Amino acid sequence: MFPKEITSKLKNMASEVYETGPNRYVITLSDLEKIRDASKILFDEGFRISTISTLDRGFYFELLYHFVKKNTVASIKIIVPKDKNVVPSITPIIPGANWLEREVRDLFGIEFTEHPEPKRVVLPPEWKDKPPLRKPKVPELPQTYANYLISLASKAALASLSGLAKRRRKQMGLPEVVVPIHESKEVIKTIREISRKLKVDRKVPLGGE
Amino acid sequence: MSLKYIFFPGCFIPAMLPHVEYCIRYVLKTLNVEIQETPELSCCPPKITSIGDFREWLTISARNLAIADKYGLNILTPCNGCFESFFEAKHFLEHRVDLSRDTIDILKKLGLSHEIKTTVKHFVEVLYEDVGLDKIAEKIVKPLNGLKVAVHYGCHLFVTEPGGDVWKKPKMMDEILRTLGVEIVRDGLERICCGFVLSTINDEKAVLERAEVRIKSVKSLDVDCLVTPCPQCHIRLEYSQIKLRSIKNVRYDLPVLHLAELVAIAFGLDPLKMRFDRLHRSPVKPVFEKLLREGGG
Repeated sequence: MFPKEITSKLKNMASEVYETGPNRYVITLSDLEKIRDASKILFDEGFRISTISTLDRGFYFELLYHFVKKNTVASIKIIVPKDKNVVPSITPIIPGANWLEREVRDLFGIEFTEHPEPKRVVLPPEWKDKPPLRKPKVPELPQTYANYLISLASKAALASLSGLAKRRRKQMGLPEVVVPIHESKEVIKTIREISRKLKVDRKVPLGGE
Repeated sequence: MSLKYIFFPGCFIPAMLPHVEYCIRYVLKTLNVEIQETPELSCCPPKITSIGDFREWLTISARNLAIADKYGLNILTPCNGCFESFFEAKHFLEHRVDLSRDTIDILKKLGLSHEIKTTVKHFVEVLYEDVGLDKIAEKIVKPLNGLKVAVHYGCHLFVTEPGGDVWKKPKMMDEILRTLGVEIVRDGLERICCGFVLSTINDEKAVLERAEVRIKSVKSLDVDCLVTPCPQCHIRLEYSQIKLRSIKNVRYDLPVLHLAELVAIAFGLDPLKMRFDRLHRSPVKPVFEKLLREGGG
């Protein structure tokens, strides 16, 4: 059973805590800067770090720090945007994370700040190529489906009126502006805000200010 | 009592089929159906966007429903895709609270209600259920007697509540066509997909394995044209014939018309005067000429 006091301690920094199975917990942090504080709480409670998994989600990385205590596994999840690419190292608190973080650095190119020994561990020192498991920054979705989301955020519609369509409409006496392809600034702003709230910007670039 | 709806033409009709929009507005005006156009609405968006992000699709669709709800009016859409999107969004809001939690939160923040009373109505439903066949028959000035057609309803006209009659709306369309005096000829492939959704992934496969199957079958019937109430089917069935000329060097020359065009012609619209034949991508001129020649008989 995951101690209630740990959950309450983590609650301030977690955006989500959920059970994925018996004695299996995933804690998503609201901010990657809080990884040290969260790790310290678990470490002080007697958890040890098991490993760090990294998932390349196209626009961002998902880092999962797996902590184990007897038969309980708690994973702390942080989201690292590829533009940011920097995570605070937990090695100063948990020395056992030393090689794990260096492995992530080698394979995915993520930098760990204040790491006491930022050297290669998996790759040879003369490695010149890009980190081998790092994929280009592209939407995780197939382009067709990504385009729908981009189009919704940029014009609140999936189509727009071409010059020819506008001329034809005028000739026929149809309204010049027609819902839903009116490209109203207020509507676009609202749709973009909705997309941000739903974290669609983790899948596709939403544009705008 | 006059009928009033929030008009939601979708994007295909205004952008690619202005003649269809003209006919829809003409038909609604003739039948004294009032329409309100509100600039607050956004794209429906089509259900296919839910593959990219389900909550995004549901929230944007629910926002449109909530705005219509604010005006206390039902939505009238002539687009099968928009109809499906609104219909399903309302269903999810009512029956799947687990999937619509974020949507409800966002609607509250936008100051909109998530308890939607607005119903989405397809153009076919409005004509059959709300206006009525009697009133349609009263307005006919040029019966379309002698016109033989095949019908292509479009998949989303079969969308209904779980356990409902999927043939309810297609049968309404048949009745409307019969009221106009049209004879419907069947080939048993009315429910086949036009290939629109597949075309977003593989256009050639959509043309060869979906649209051509239906076009070939209709061509073997003794009909004047194919009628559809769906803008996507309309576009795909016309476009596929052009594409088939270059892929397989075969010409089908099957005229494809929208339901609203036939109703508008029966109500006295002259499609040749409006030069609708130049907006179609299939040879519809002979059909229009036949209707104008034989109409009123």
